[in-house]
Amino acid sequence: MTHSRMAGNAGSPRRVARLRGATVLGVLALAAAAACSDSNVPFFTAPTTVPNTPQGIDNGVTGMISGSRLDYGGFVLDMAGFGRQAGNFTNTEPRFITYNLGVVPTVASTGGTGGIWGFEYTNILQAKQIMATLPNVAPAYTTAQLAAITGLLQTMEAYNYMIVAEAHDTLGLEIQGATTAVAPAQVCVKDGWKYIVALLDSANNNLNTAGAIPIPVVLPPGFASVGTSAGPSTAPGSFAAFNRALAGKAGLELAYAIARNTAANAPTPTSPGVPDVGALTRADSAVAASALFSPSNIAPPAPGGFTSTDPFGVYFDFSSSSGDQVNPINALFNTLWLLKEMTADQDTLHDLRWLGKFASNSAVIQQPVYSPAAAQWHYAAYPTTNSPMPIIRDESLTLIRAQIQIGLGNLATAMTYINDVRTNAGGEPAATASGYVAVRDALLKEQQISTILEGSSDRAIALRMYKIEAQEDTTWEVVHLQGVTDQHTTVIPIPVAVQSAHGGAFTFTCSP
Amino acid sequence: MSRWGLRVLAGAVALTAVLAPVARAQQGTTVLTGRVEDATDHAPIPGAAILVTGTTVGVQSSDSGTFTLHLPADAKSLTVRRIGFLQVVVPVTAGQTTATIGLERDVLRLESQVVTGVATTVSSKNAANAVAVVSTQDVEETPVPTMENAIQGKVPGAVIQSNNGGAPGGGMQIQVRGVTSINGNASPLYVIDGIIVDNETINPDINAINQEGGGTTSTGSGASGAPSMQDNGVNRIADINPDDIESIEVLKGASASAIYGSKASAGVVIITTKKGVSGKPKWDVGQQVGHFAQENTLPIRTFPTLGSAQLWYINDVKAADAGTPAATTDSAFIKSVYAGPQNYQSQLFGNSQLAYQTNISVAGASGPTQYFLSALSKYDNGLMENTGYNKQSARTNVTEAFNSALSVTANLNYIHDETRRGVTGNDNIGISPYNVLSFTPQFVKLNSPSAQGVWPTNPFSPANPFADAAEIETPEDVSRFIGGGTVNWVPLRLEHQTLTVNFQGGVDLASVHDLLYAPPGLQVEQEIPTALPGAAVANDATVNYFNYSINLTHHYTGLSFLDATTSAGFTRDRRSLANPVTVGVNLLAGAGVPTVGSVLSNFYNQTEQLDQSLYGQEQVITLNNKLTLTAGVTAERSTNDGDISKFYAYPRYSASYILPQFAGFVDEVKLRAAYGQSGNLPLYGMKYTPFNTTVFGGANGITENPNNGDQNIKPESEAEIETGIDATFFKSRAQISATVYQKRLSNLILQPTVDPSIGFSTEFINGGQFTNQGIELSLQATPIQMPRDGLTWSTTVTFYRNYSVVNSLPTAPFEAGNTFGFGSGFLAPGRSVSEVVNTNIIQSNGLPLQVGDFTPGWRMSYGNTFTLGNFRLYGLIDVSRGGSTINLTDLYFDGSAQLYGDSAKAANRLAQFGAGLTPYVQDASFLKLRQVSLSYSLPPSLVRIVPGNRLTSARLSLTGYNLWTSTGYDGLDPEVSVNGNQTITRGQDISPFPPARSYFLGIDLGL
Repeated sequence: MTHSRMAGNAGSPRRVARLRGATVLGVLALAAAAACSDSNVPFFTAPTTVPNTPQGIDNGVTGMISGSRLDYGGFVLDMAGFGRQAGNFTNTEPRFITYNLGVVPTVASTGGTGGIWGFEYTNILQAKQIMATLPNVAPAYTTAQLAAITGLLQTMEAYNYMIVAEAHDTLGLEIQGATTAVAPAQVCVKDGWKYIVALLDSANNNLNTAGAIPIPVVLPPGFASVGTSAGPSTAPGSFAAFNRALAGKAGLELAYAIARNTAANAPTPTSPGVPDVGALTRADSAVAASALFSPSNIAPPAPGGFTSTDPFGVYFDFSSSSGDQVNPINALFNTLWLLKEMTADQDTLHDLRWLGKFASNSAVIQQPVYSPAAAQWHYAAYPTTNSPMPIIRDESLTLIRAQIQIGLGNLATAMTYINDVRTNAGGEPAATASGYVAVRDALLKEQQISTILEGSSDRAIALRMYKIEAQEDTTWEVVHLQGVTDQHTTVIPIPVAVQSAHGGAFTFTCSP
Repeated sequence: MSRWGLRVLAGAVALTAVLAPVARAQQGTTVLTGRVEDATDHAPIPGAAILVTGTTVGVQSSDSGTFTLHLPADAKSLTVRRIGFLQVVVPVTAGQTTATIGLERDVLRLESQVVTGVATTVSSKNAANAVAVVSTQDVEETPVPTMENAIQGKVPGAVIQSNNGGAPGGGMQIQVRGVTSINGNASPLYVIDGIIVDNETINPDINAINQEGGGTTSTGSGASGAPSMQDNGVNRIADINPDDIESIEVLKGASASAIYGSKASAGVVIITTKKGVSGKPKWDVGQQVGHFAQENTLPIRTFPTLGSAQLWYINDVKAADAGTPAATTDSAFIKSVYAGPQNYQSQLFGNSQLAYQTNISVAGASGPTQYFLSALSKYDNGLMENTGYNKQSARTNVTEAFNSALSVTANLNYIHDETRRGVTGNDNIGISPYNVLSFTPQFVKLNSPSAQGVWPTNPFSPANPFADAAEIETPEDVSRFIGGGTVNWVPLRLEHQTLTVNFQGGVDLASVHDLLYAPPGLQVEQEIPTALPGAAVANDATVNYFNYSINLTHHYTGLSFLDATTSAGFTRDRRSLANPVTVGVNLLAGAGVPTVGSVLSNFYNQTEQLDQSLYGQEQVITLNNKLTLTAGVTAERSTNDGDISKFYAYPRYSASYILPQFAGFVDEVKLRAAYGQSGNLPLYGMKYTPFNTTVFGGANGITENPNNGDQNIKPESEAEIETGIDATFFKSRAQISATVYQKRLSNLILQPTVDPSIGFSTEFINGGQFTNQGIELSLQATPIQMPRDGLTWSTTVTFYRNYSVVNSLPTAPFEAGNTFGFGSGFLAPGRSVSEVVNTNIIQSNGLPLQVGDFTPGWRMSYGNTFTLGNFRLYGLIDVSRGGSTINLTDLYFDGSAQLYGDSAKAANRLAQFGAGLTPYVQDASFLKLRQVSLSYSLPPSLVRIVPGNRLTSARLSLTGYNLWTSTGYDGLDPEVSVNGNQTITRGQDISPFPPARSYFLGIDLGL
């Protein structure tokens, strides 16, 4: 190869040698660089599996119970709207009014975790993941400890199903498969409640198998009343007491779901229908077996709101500590207004519950176009960011037992429980009522004030059970707000994501 | 790497190697001296490249335009080029010893060098892609906050949209040739002088004050929140000083940008900064003074009399009181707060501060050292009190030529800026200004505190926006160092071939510090129901980028019909982010740091990414410079991939052919076609399913992540083919360019909503495909060019239309993007990837009704430059047709206190909304007078008045930006996007920072 030279010595043997050297060096450098692979970059800020140590299980259980709070604010707010008790008149989100209070048809939630669904199933999955990790934990748990943790997780799993079933009622729900690869089963609400009741019973068996051993995981302070031992349910401090309380509520809802599944058996505004006696009887036994059920210990609201140390209630705690959640209803203090129906129905001058839970709201109402429906009161029983919120407590449990008795036709017994609440919590004289409709309405009146904005959400559930949503719901009719047609909404639609996963419609089969 | 790609590359390299030995023997040389000058005024042109055609032999002209060249005996011609002038080929004859070469000004800037690889370029005359090149003159036309503003409307195929309206400090989103990803990176790659630089967005955590994303944080809504995308943070390319930029090239798709592998699918913006030039030091000093003012306002109801205010309150707010005794109380209340008509918008967004910009730079050479030094100090006033943008920048670009074979370039840039953007946008406590104004009638005096410094309480809303603007501090302080270097070693330089070893490396180190403070005494803080008034945030982010490349380039011209460039190289880069955030609430009065809060929340984000790639490329110019062929392949792997050891290959092929001249008025017609593939890496962490962490009752906990990661996740793939034609007419007086492209995105990283009943609500998967098809047209012309009269008119029209369609999905159609639910993004086969749907209306096919599209139907820009003597007038009109913006600011007004100025329109919208329709999805078409600048260059006779001839040039200018908008859109600005950086659901309007127009008066002096 011959090249002419430019100025200098380009093309000299030395130059060509340098070229070859540079080329070889370059190629070697490129090859060496390519051979140098990088090590994996981990996820820095959180674990990616449940750690198989007692500490890891503790973290998992804490997180699972904590996760059960994620929808709590939305759930109780929706249910308070459906029960026509209170609404969030915030200027930042008109849908709290238009959807929850029935101004426009409630639209299916569009978010993947929205619509009181996603978080609940995430918690259910986490319970399963923790249970799957339990056999591999080192040092190993004892058999009793395994049974206790399993019973606890099953109870919380059932609790999350209950929230879904109560939010969506007759629209149905899904039962999660054994793994994420197994498609969930679409079921009607009746079959859903059957599954829930069975799950709670299974959990109760596990808790009873574990017996009086200390719960081997640390529970949040709000579970203090059920955090001492696994079982039995009649023992104060046992987790099984919480299980049976939920089983009583679930059994009641099962009994009416069965009735409503057959038109002929469904309650009407004037008749009790035919709720399933077997389910009611088991529900009554469950409530009776719960150490949380204690009508004689019902008391008027304490100043400062609820406390986690209540021996007859289970609560979700909140705090403003880093990483924790604040009370979601407290955050709405200035925008959450009672509806005028509440002031019309209740004794605002003497009832100790009214005086203890509500305060005059001096804030400017936001969403003023809807203001004629609102009363100048707000809820004051969650006065701080740290205020705990009841999951279930003796006051609601007593009214649930009253409902069970109404279902069984024991109206006098029901009135006894209703008056336990009315006199002990409200300081009101005992009420008298006879006949199904009057006793039912007496129940609804106490539910309206006793468990407003609590997790049991009894009034909205009862309105549906007794098929009196339209009768009780007069929010917009009273104020005659121009252009508003009341939709009498009491359910949250099945989320779009769920519908889309099933071809755009959520359909289910219902067992006979 | 695909076998096919390797074969093509190996073949090309082998061809060069085979041909090289038969290179022609050369004879002796002749010394040619000459001068390069402006053909019009005969002024010397320094820095022109004079190359013996068909060889690698060449020199640059000196400061006086002269050059000396050793001319090979068989030299036939010289090719001479210089940026700003049209290239010429000048014949030379045997024995010729002198030459004077005149260059015509490239009025339309038709010629430039465009990037074809990491270390290779080609003349735009031969380029096979429609690479948009924006020159320094375009960038410097008007003082603007960021370089993105400077190229708005100047790049066909690019949609540039501001985050949060006219908030100072920039914050823009660039979308090139349509949507390029659903869940991956959607921002172009930015490369400055060969170094990949950071364009991260660090969200400052306004969320801790306004709780705009409160429900999604680990602390829930209430006391505090983590940074949220709704903070609308500034993307960091805003730091770059536009005045340091020599040129910007935008590689729009894989056919041009494949060389950048899996970072290039959203396009590549290659920024070249100014360098030193031969000759004595040339100083430039510029001073601009101006002002940013509110461009548009909303029609908000006014109350000229007390009676009108009372009627509003009784009839529209307290309707139930009308005609009742309560109305008397209502009237008395209004009387107690009525302070005459107010104009809140002008009061709140009428910050009268001046804006200024001071530039100083010097460029020159001293012996073998070329240098460019610059400094900038600027301040942009924000429209709202206590907002603004302050920036200082210093740059040093030095090139040292040690000898003819070795040169080293070092580019060092330090930037400091401070941005104050206030609290606007979405919120959940009623603090955002337009949110407050939707409830507050314009008759309460709110805009000044008492003598004791106490602000009035707003009786109609939980916030006084004037107090909030004045008292809430939102400074974001950025310190950034970008340092890069290039070593060019030419171990072999023969007459017909050179071998270059090139090393490029650099670092980009950015420290972003936000210290936000909402004092506890503010009405809005006192009314926060958490009873934890006062919030402060310390947000510190450290972003480190390191990258380098080693490149071998062999340039061969040994055959008369062949100019071949073979290149191969290795690149590696590392990116890391560490971002601790501390939020304090319930603050001690008088101190603005989070540690004085009684309640603290901590957040921490950390990411890291390591990438490496190999590439090879062959570029051949043949058939008398008429045919250009390029083939190359890049193979890349990344720690963000599921399989970190796997290389993904991205080939690229292109060809351009210049047709023989077939008509007298046609100078040149070039046909071009290019195909390329690139990728889009998964984002950090997509391959994991990390638990969320929580604290409950003082105990640590882990909660299941609702999103399921994909441990096998792969990069997205982009395959683009573009073809086009460029035709130049009338001796370069006009050029028409047309490009059609098809960009197919496949193997998408999707996050479909799955049946949440399985325990996950979403999951990352690869799959599906969508396609962008589009056309880009441009016409550049100089209808009038009368050098003797000093009159020139040049005009540029560009048109861009993109059409996207989802081809397939691996799942059922699903909602995508991030909206507030009053119109949603949705992915379904056969429909636009960026459609807006109404999920309330499900059609018979089971899909929601399409009600709009987030991307415009077409864009057009029209720029004109008139030069008359020493005057120059430039104007740019930007037109966008179609596209949708979801106007939730209107919803605030419609559903609140009847304060929208057009009550019939508001009622109509609300009625439609109540019927399940989407009246807030609105047409975002517009016509904007984007820029106007008028300048006057002082004649030499005046310039010489300065003693000592120290002044060489002087120019006065008056410029305006975003001067006028015509639109049917109901909101403040159809271009707004106030929901963070988005891939597909960009146009969202919710109480934004209002749009700004600016005016500047400037003087530029050459010394």
